[in-house]
Amino acid sequence: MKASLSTPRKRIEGLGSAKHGAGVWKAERFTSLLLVPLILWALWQAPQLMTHKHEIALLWLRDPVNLVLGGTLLTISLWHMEMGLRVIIEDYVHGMAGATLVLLNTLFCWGLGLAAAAAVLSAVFGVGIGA
Amino acid sequence: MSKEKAAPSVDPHSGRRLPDMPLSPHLQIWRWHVTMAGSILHRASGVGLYAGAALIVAWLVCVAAGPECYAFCVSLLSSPLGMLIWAALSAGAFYHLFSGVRHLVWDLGYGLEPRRASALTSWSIVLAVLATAAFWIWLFSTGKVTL
Repeated sequence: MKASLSTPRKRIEGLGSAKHGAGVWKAERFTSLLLVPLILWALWQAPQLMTHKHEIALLWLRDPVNLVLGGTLLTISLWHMEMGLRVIIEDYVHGMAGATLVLLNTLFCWGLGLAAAAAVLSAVFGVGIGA
Repeated sequence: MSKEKAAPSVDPHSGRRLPDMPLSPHLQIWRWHVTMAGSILHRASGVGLYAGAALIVAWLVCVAAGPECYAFCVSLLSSPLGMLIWAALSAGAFYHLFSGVRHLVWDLGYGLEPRRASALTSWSIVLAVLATAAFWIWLFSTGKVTL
């Protein structure tokens, strides 16, 4: 038997989950519930955005209702999909490769959120590069 | 049952060999059933929608980048391949939506008996097909989308 400096209790705790399972479980349900009406709204709005006219797309974005609902939809979606893909990675990819993919997944979702925020700041509020 | 012997599992902390334990059965061992198909479809549609979200953000960045960039972006998105991608994304969105509601029903403790769980899953697939068809009929019949 290999000697270990940690107490049996510490060892058992280290073997378990990361101890925030209930919080993630609740966040999954919370985001799911919010996404039900938001995704229906998005499907209803989508055809308007398949426009060839740049001004129409800008007008849509500058509408406060669209901005608030669209912003909420994107934020909740990014949160939801980060948790969702993480579950899939954790199920099928183990070890260092899995940990790397989990990290990339989180960074990618944050990147998408920041890119969207920068785009909205520029197109709607005239702030930032290219505004 | 598979007679193959799995590699011995090792405790990552102490490096000790763990006793041989039954492994969770994977795809090739399970008999195909509808709740399994529903689960795979839920994950597949989720991954598809993940890519779809990236596409929406790309569209947003193109709006901000100005009319020329926007025109190029829209010409790609309204090409035949683009339309195919939107069709797949709308189908994925409807399936993930109905399948997700099915999960919320299960979370409340209803419909967990095998027969009801299967019925809920079959319904989520049928509703997704019908909703996608209705959505595209609406888009074409009102002239919102033209080929």
